[in-house]
Amino acid sequence: MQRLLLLSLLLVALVGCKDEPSGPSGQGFDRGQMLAYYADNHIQPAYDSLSLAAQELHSRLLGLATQPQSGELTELRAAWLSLYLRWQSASIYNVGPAAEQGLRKRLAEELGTFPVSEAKIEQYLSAGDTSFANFDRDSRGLFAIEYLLYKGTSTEVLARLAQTPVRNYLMALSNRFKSESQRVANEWRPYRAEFVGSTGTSAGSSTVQLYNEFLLSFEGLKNFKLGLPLGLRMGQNQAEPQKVEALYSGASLAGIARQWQALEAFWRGNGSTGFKAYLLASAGGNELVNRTEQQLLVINARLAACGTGRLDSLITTNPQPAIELHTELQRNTRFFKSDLSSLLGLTITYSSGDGD
Amino acid sequence: MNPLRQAYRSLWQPASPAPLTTLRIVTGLVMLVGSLRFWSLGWIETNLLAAQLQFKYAGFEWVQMPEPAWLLYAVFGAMVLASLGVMLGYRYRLSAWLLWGSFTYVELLDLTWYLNHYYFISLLLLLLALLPAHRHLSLDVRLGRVQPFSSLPGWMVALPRWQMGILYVYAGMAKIQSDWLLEAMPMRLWLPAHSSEPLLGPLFAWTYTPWLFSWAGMLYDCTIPFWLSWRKSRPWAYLTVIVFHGLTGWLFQIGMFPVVMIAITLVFFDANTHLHWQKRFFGSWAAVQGAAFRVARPWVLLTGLYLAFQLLFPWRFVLYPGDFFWTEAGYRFGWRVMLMEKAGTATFYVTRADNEREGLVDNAEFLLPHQEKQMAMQPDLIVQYAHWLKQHYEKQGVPVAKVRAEVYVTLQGKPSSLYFDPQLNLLELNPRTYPHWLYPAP
Repeated sequence: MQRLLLLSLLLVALVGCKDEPSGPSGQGFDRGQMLAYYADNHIQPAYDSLSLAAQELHSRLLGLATQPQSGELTELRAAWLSLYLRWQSASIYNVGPAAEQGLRKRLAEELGTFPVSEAKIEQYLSAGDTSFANFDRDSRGLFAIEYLLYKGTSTEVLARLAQTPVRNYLMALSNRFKSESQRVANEWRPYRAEFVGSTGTSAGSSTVQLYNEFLLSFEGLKNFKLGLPLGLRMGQNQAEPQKVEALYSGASLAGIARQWQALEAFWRGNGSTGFKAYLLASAGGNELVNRTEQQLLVINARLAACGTGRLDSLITTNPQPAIELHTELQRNTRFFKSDLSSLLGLTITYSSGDGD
Repeated sequence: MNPLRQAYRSLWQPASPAPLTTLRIVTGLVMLVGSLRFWSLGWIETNLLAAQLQFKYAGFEWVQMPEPAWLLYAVFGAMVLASLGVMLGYRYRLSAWLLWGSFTYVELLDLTWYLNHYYFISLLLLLLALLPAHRHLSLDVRLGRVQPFSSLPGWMVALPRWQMGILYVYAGMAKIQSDWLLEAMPMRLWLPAHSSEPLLGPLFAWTYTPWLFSWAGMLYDCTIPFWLSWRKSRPWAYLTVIVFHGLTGWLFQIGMFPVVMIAITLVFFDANTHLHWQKRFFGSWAAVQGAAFRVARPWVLLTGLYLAFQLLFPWRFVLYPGDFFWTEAGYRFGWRVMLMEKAGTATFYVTRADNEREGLVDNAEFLLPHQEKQMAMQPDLIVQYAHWLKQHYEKQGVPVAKVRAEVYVTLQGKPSSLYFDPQLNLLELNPRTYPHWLYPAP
């Protein structure tokens, strides 16, 4: 054993003397610091801001006149739009109190399922069922609220808002969104210590959970917010523009842009920490960061080319810019997925297992 | 007498069955714990039953998931009972064959769960089922179901040691290459992920630690069977077995295997040591009694063929051209452990035969994350998946003309590159033949 050790030390010394190696991957990188940064600068602010916007919308609904006027509707819609945009950055984390637990799904699914089912909403609404004691997530959440605030002409919406069952259902939807976003924001504060303290890289560690949610969110953006309405998915025979997110308000492209900004900001970090800094501290990370940066530039250009109009109209009239955006996101997948996880030694499976 | 003849005769020297007895007991125990652990962690559901498709081993396409699915729980139940039977030496032949059969069946269900260690356990269980490991210190002897043996031909006791020796030495030889020794890859990628561990953490961030681990690992694997075989170095060697497997078990997600290896390596100790401990635990029950066991010559011939196969099979990769890590042709069943960090991103496109429309496949719709991860970097699995997609859509009434994939693979942390022509129709390829269609390694 001693001989073995001596021999190996000798050989290591020999190799080591030849030339200065670039050292281990992620040498000296402080994951605890990275987690604290994400918790304090990305996650908690996003949840707090979401919770605030939800309260704002709800208090506006509480003060809604029995016969609301168009000015009130404009204000309600502005409040919803603000909530929708904040949702884009708040929905990409889904860890800790926002993770799936028991019957409760991840925050992103629990409050942001789309497209919603108009039939189901109408059915629960007319039955006066505001219990949400069912698995029809497409009958509630952010986009059910949107449906009630935007579907039809302003006059139609105003007329409906004067009806008690509609108001009741809308209030219940908004109340649920408010309490759930508040719960996550409140529970995240005490959870922070546990989150930041889990500095390992095995399945279930904070870094791996956060990274997997980041990936899931990125793939969701590509597959469901673009691929699905564009009709690019196998099994679709044509584009299905009615399946865009935020169909009724027509704010899809603004939402997509906001989510993409949040994902990009997450990857970039603040220069001294975050996934980009983690990569730069790793053997071969420079090259991957350069390639990723180039691709991010291309994606941002394609995103800008999609304009600021309605995504469903774009898909119907001239889908090419949206298809190109989807293609470039697809090209980026490997940089976020296999290349990054491989270089940093992160697992992309969700549970641990045996290994060689 | 000539030395060859002498060596051959020594194989026939009567040997105490005690080491084999210990091997039987610890293997049964480890299998018992392992199968219960697999069950209790919910892996029967999440790793096996939750899958919509199974990737097949070439030649074992006929191994299917049980129908109805709950029968898989019965298979694990049988595995648990058989482990107990093996451990106690109760209805040993039945137990041992059942254990080998149920374990091997589960391993053959889905190739994406392939592990060298699982393969090793399958082989070990096969050897145990064939060897008379229950003729000493077993319930079968106690109950008078079989006659005890006081000795076995030496080669029978040595056989599991040879099997372990092959595993270690081949695992060591596979590490004698520039990536491992000169670049310290993939240790350089894997170790720093542990820099936050208590006590030893800072060590993993030190520049030279990956080289230390790589060289020590290679030397350990190449030489440990010999240190374990030599009486003087044996206790020290066993200590390094504990340290080595303890360390790898702590660092890498390898589940039960460190325990398995530490337990099974006990077989290298001599008969007296085994008897000493067996008497401590089981008292007079552990006394060796009965007649000497004689074996028919054809068994020796078969054993020789088996060993020759074990020695030759891992070398089949030399028959294939191209970069070995890139193509993975002849990679499996060769004791190549921890050698590479490889990952891929695979996007599949399916073209309908009726309207020529091409659609993009969301892998998450069909594959477990683990399956997708494994599939995206192994050529035969990529082709299998393409064929499965065709079948799947055609079952839904969608005729499929073409399945193609854009696959990027990264090896040892290098920038990823295109694995093969993204226009290639994967349906025209056979998963069982050499992937000549891959682009050369970057």
